[in-house]
Amino acid sequence: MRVMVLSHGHPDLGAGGAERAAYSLFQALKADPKVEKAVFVARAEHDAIGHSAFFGSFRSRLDEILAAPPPVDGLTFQSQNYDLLKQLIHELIRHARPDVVHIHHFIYWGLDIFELFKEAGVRVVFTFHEYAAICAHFGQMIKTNGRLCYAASPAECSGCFPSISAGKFFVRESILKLFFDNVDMFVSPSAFLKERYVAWGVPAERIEVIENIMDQDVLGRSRTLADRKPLRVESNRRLTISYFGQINPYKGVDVLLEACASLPKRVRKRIEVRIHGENKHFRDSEFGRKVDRLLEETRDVVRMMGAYRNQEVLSLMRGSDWIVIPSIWWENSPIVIQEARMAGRPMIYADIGGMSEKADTRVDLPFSAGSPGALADVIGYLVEGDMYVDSEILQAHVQARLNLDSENYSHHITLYLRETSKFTERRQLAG
Amino acid sequence: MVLRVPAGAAVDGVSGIRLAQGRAAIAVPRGQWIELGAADGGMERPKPVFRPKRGKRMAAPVEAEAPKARRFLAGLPRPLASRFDLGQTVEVSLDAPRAGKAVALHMVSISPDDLADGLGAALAQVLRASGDEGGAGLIGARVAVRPLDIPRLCWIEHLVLSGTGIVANGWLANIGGQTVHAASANLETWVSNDAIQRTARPDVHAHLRGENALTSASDEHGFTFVIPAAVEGQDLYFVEVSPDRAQVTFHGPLAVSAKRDDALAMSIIRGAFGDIRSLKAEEVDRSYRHLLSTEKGEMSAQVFDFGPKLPQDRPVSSVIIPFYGDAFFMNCVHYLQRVLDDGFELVLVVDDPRIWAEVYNGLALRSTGLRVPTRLLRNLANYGYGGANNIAASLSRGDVLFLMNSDILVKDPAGLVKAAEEIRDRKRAGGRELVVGFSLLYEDNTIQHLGMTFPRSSAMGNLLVADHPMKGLPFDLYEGDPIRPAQAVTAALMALSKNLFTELGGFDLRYERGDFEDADLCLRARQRGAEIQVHVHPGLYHLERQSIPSMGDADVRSMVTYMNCAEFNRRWEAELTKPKRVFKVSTPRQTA
Repeated sequence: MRVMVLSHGHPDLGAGGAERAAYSLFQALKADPKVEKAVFVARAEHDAIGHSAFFGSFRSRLDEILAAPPPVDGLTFQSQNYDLLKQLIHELIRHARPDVVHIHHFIYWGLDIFELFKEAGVRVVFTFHEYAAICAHFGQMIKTNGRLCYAASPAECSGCFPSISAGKFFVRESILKLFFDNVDMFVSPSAFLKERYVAWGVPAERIEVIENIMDQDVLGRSRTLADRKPLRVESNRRLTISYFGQINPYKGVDVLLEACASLPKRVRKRIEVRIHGENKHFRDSEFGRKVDRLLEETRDVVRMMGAYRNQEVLSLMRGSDWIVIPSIWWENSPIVIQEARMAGRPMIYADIGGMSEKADTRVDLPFSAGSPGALADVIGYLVEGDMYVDSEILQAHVQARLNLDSENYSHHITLYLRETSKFTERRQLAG
Repeated sequence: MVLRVPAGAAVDGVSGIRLAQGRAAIAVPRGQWIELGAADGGMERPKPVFRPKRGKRMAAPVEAEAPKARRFLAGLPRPLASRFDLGQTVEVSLDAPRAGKAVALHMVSISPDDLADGLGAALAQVLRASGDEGGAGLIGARVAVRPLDIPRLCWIEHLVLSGTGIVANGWLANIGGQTVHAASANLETWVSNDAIQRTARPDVHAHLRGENALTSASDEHGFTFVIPAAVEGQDLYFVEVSPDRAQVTFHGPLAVSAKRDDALAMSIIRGAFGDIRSLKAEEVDRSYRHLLSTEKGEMSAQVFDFGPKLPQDRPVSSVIIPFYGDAFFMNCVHYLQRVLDDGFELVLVVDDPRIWAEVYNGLALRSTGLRVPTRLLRNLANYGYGGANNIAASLSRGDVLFLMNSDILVKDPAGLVKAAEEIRDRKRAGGRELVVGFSLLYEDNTIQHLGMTFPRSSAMGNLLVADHPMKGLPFDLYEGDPIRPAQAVTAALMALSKNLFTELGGFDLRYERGDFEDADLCLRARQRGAEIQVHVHPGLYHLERQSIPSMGDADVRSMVTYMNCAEFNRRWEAELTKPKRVFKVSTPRQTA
């Protein structure tokens, strides 16, 4: 079996959970002797390719192809140069000859890729990573006024974007569904995400819930650390709470900072909040200025740790007592949860969507999403209350997560085999 | 046409005169010549002639200078004369036993001076013969030309270009009590006395009293009227007709040089004629129509073909989609490409240079993915909704036309396929022509269209308006038949044979910017015996009016709607209010 994993980016060129999930899957496929050929194709800016061709290889790795597809319409996700896209996809198919393409996102590529692969007789598997098909607000299902969105409709979407009529949102939805008809099977990393897409109109039987594959390198490190005991929190040192991820308006860093700012001095003295991540895209925005202001207000508590390499995430987590996931959007299956599990650390999490689904209330602490006050209460309770974390449960999670990854991979392979066993007429591509 | 023959030359042997220009040629027999009176010694400047617009005939003018000439006038029927390009020279020759060489002559227009110079009576004779008694009476009177006494007795305050017209506004001494027309120097454009709106001007009245120039107690010296923009650059005359109609005086000339200012033009017209909603159709024609109209010249388009070739072994239906203002709905075209079979071609027509590149690239950069033959038309000007459809129909290749708005989303084309088959079946069986409209839904699955009815609307001056019954109600509530009769259907999605559309002359371009022309087309089709049906079928969506907002501001838009509505009522009110024509919308739901 030959498998192509197609992503909207290469994780080493721009870290994001979806890119990492796609790449981790590719790593696992590549290591599997039963897989004849695995190819990773990542969309990249032309600059990253380094020459004038539309394709290149990442660090000269011959099975990691970078591609620069033509631009995509921002609302309907259709390619603005279908002919060129078709040429690129056909070249990939002709030379990589995949039986299955596992697409991890259509953004930057265009919805047309579903149709192009399908028409060429390649089985199409697609993983949802957020709500991009449902929601035009960065696929977050947060209304433009900041409130959580529970369901989309053309009229309500137009309410978020008054310059775009309900009719246009209807066209958007119709086009997305039309192209989704070319997908043989959808994968959702969380049951919550699946529910949202089922409610939107994708038949439940066409979506399998399979958790993302973890980075093989991270998994390897987890194995070497699995026998270690979790850190014990002594009363004479500061409690460390760490955030991992991008600094953007949806990940809730500002909620965390506001919570810290509101803590009484006696609590602030006893905690240290570490922020691991970068503010790449929102530095000059209102959000960026807000973060800067709050950082200034919480200098005694919060430390900016900067960007981190994927390989070091587990040890960084193990250097903390708690991992905080304060996202204000629904999330899907944040990879940081899997990593926290493997690091054997308990979580403080916003109590919505995929985060709520993946948490274990025996060891993890929820707070009301978007509420700095609720988060401050939880932190205060950790410092001043009598909080006991069952380390055996955390240890069990470490082992379970390692086992789960094998299961998740196995589910992927089973899915591919099932799809490729169906009769497909392979189209001879021109050229 | 005026022919001058040198004194002493024999014309009796001449059987006629022949005019030729390229492939166009006509002859005027000698018997149709009218001899004009002596022309002040016969040595006056060359007197070319003319195209008296008000008559049913026009003449190609011929100019020939000759001493002591006899002058003859020959009228040419307009259909023949219109075959000539008036800007080009005409070859003129005599049909005579000893015919001379043909002479190439320029055509020039008649002027008020020509009328005053003796042409009037002969022209009146031609007009009378063509049935234009009014024009004949006017031209046949004693004609004089006098200069305007500016600024003592007349002042032009505004000459403003807007739409296809020029708004003229100012004052002329004592115009309130007189019969005064306005005419262009070439007499092609006339604004009748009725179309010149008089207004009281106490300030002017006081001025005229000071000048001792008042002829009545009326202070109506102000005037406002609209003339076609084609007059721009010409001279204008006020044409005063004496109460006994025996004397006609051309006051002028007055140079017409106007600047475009839509807001000012609208303000002047509104001030002089009142709100458009207070006016009847005829009054709208005299006041607002030019301002709200687009140019209606000869239409032409560039043609670009994309996608597969048209099948030659079976008939195809042409889906005509005009684009204006917003290329977003190319998305609907891409959708159509994926749901239509090879029984269709798409004909996209773009009127709007702002979106041309987007539409063109939307096809050109997708050409290998197109499954339906697609013809793209780039109109050389904005011909409006009706014009765009008409030109697209003429350049379409199918025997059945689907007129489709760009904001129609066809999720299920089965209804279109069926309608095309039924229209062809009717043709084959020699039955009545069929016009098919469709049930159209909004994006929330409520009804947008199930056929039209024509109730009166108090919001539209109690005129009949095109109404969509059940509009906005859930589609599930419709319990009627899958095929229902209708008086008219929307052209947002309408199917009919190309023959019928052509026989009807397409949409009437008197309706501006996409209003009422579909209802008018249907009613004209009914007059010719066609049957109008609505096919009720799910899967057809009309994201109504998504492209209309870019057609101008809401105020102008509503004025255009009223103008179209008034025109529609002028034509169809009597027909639609006949008791037997009352249209039943749907079968009431049976309750237990």
